[in-house]
Amino acid sequence: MLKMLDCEIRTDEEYSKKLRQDIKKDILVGMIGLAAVVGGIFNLFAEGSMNSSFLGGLFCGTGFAIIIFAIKSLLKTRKQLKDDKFRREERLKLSDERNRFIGMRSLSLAGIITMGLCYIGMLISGFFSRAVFWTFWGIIIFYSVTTCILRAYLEKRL
Amino acid sequence: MKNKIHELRKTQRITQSELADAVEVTRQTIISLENGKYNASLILAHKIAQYFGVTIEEIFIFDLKEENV
Repeated sequence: MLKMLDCEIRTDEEYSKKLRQDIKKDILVGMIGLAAVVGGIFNLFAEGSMNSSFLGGLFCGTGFAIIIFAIKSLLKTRKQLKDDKFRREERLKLSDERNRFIGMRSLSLAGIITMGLCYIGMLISGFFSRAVFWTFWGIIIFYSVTTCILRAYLEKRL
Repeated sequence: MKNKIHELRKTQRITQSELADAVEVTRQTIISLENGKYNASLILAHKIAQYFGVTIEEIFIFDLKEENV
């Protein structure tokens, strides 16, 4: 979905160029995943508590997921660079205006729903835990400020 | 907004895939346009009109009442 939103491509040449850049991005993402796994393994073997075991598991799990995602994306990109028909199909899927509209709408609705749930969570958590309350509060404020900044920026640009 | 894509396509014996390929969108977009579930952008409307060799107004029917104008 993020690739779709990022895609302002009109021709096959532009798309091929973007795919070659994507290979570098995929490798970078894979390296980040690998770093997370290594960090997780260190955490697992570190002396101590359940907390380090939890963090180790979390780092390893997310790291592996990122590595798998990067490898999958890399293989798909390479296939696209070799196969013209497949590349065109994928380009059309990414640049299709309806797909992009659906992507933008889904992200915007997901943001609104998340904020609504965060607000409810903030109200309820206030009775039990201040830490959770401030976390929800922080998310809501960050989202609102980011929205205002982006709106001001886009109003100037468009 | 209503449109005559389906009629024009049938008259000219063009499949949804062929039209989608020509105007560089997915077949699903053509289906949504024909069903009236999605309104084409100005660029896509231009591409479709050019493909059929007609004007935009001949394909896309702007209903003043429906659009509250």
